[in-house]
Amino acid sequence: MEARLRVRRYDPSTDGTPTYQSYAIEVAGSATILDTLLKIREQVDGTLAFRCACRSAICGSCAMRVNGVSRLACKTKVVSVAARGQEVTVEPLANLPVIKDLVADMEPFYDKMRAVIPWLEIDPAKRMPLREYLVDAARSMKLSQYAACIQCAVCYSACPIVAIDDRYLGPAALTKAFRFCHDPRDDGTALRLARVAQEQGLWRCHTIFSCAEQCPKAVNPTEAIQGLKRIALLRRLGLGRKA
Amino acid sequence: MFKPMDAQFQARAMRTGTAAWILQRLSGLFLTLYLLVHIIVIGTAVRGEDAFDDLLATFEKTPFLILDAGLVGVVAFHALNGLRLILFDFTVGLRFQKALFWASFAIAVAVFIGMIVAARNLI
Amino acid sequence: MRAALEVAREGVDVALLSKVYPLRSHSVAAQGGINAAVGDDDSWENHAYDTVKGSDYLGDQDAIEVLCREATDDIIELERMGTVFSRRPDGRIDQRPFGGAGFPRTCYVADITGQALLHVLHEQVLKLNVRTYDEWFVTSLIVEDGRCRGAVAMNMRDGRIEALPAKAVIVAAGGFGRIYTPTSNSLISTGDGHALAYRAGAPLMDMEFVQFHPTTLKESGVLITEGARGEGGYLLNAEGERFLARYAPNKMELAARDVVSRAEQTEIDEGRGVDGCVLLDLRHLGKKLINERLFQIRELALDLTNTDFVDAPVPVRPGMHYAMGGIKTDADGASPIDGLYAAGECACVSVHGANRLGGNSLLETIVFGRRAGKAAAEYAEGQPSPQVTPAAAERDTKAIAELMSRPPDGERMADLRAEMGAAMNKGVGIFRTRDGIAAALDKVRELKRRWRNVQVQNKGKVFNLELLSVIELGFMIDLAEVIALGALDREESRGAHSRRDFPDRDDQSWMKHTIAYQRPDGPQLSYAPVTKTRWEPEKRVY
Repeated sequence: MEARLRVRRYDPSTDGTPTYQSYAIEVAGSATILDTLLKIREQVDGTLAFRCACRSAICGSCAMRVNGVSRLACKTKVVSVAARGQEVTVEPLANLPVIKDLVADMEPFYDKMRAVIPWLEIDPAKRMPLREYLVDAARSMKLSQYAACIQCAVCYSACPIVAIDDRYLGPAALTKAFRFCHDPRDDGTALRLARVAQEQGLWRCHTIFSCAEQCPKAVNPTEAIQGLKRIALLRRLGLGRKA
Repeated sequence: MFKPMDAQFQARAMRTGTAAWILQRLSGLFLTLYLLVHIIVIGTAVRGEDAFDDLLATFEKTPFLILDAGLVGVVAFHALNGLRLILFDFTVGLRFQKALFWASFAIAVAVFIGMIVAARNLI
Repeated sequence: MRAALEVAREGVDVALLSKVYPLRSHSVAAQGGINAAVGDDDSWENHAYDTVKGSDYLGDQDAIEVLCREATDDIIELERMGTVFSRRPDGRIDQRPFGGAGFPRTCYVADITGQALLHVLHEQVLKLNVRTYDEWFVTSLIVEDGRCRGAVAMNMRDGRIEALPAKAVIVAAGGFGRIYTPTSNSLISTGDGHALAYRAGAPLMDMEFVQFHPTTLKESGVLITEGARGEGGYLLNAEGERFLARYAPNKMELAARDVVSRAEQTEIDEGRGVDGCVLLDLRHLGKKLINERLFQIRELALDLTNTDFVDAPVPVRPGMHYAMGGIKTDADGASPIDGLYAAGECACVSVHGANRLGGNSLLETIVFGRRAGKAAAEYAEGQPSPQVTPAAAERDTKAIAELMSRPPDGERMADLRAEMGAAMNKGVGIFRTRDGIAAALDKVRELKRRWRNVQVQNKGKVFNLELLSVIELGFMIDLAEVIALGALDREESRGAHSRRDFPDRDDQSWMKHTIAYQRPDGPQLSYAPVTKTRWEPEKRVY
């Protein structure tokens, strides 16, 4: 089957402006966008730059926009976006600067992840259990939904609020914050709320759901952010220490 | 700070959630403007009963009745979608967000049509 | 990352260098779990015995004892760092059965254990503010006067090549799956660590022992976790038979991986396969269990093969998965070269011997990552500030310039890699013969010559992934030669190395490790004894 891609090209060392380049190449019927891009680079145009590693939707490298929708290229079958052999537009993630072609500069995204204290905070005065903490099985399963985030930045690229205001922390960072605030082993909720319960933090979320709808790992960041809002509100009203 | 919003608002990339957000704001804006107009209209009452009655007579013409029906529809949508958002703030119904939006939209349309039918019966 | 954490904790300045952002590393794709004898009815000695037997008695038992004895504390530490392990009803860490284990001792996070652990370690790296060089590609290790003094690396963002001096270097670059087709490994698993150390003069050990995972998807090679069988899944042939009953009547689908892979391949070769595959059937496990504990593989099968594990069996076949062989190290991660350490899949201690048990690889990265970090930090404290001559960086800069200036009518990287993958899978695959291996070896040597003509179309400096792929191909060809030669010389069958012409295990002549050093005319092989502590070799049946 022939796959036709229209890829956004940009080379900082030569051009000033991005252009679009069209490719047409024979691929297997079950080929993904990533398979197609790899074949293009290997057989047609070695200058095409894009990130990829696991090709099994778990490393998060290949996040990009396909026909305007942010998704993982390794999980997107060509036939699902071009059933009648139409041309497919492939662009880098939105809301991030571009290093080259489809390679986005992820630093702003990583900076925001770092800003929410993204590790388990333990009160040094707390008495540690002899072995592992005992954690309720259902709670653990709920946490693993949020911990399943692979930091691919699809949600960040899909969020209209990030598009309007690039100071907004974004869905992934806020989900990470909630993942820890909701973890019974963590003692850092107050510290984290100080970072996220502010104008460019969780109150910027208008429950638009673009993140939840496009997240390839079904993390549901909107749910996490709502959970975080609830914790923030209850604490502000003095009504809850554990949420 | 305000960048061209090309990615998230291209029709092909828009999703239910984005549409809901935009419609809530547009309807909110519309209702605010309507409220202003409404205050001005009611305000003509200070000029006396005749001036007020004359103004209201124009609003009984068909085009205005249709606009009125539309207004009620917009109120219905804004209120129902607003309730939808309040539910989300209590972390209720997050997983049915699309269904809740379409329900609000459908009811608003039904209200609009119902108002048209009712208005026709009045004329 | 575990090694870097340990070095940071020792108060020694450390930097983490990776050709991908750390969260994209292939450990993220590990699915099933990590072994430790945390259970009350279990013991580290049992775990060790299972590992020794799993290794077909080629594992060094002193190192295996270290691995199993220290496992529990390391798992608890991971949990305290915040890992969201799946839990039992009483809140304790849950464990599932896994291949080759006499007791369910595989701790897990649904079927995304690798992702969970990698992310937790990265969180700790951020917490300790460890410096990272993300998207820097190491082109060579600097060894001067018999000591490792750092590395030469290219910054992928701007193509700049820099010599990075260091008092010690720990190599943890993972496996070399991309030498084979098919493979479960990611596109970045090109044996960089193995090749860099080999070229720097370190020995590689037991390279001919290559693990084929029994359950990989047909077209993509993507991994379906052993946990699927651990939770009770069946392997069926075309006749609907649970054929493992004829090969491993006790453990059935949970025999050691080499046993299961050989069983599958035999069924397929003898005509009882389905389209070159066997069937993995999880229907009897039920939707609830699959959604809770195996949701990732359910999604993968749906996305990549349009089949739902809940309703239908999925075709799977063996695929190259893991390198038992690697840079020879002791139990503290030290290679014979001063200042050069290694841990994880790229190292060979050896704890896996001729075959690795599922769940022991993640464990190895943690236990020996920690130990290598500690040992390297202690070594570094006694070292003067590193000085490197400009020669190393100049050599690599020249080599890359040469690559970039090759004529445009040369060969294509992808063609050579495809030929190598097919030849290695055929000749040095699950079942080997002298002629088959010799043919693969010839092909590899031919590719070694043809590599000199591979062109690099992309002359740019920014994110030149084509250039990197040609360098990686060079790495892989070097390693393929070592693997094939080791397989040719080893005239017995042991663990994953199965010779049709020498079908029995020969402890008399071959209970020893293969050591390979790089020489100008190819790999030079020698042998080293296996360390035994308390377990004598027995007949290995499952």
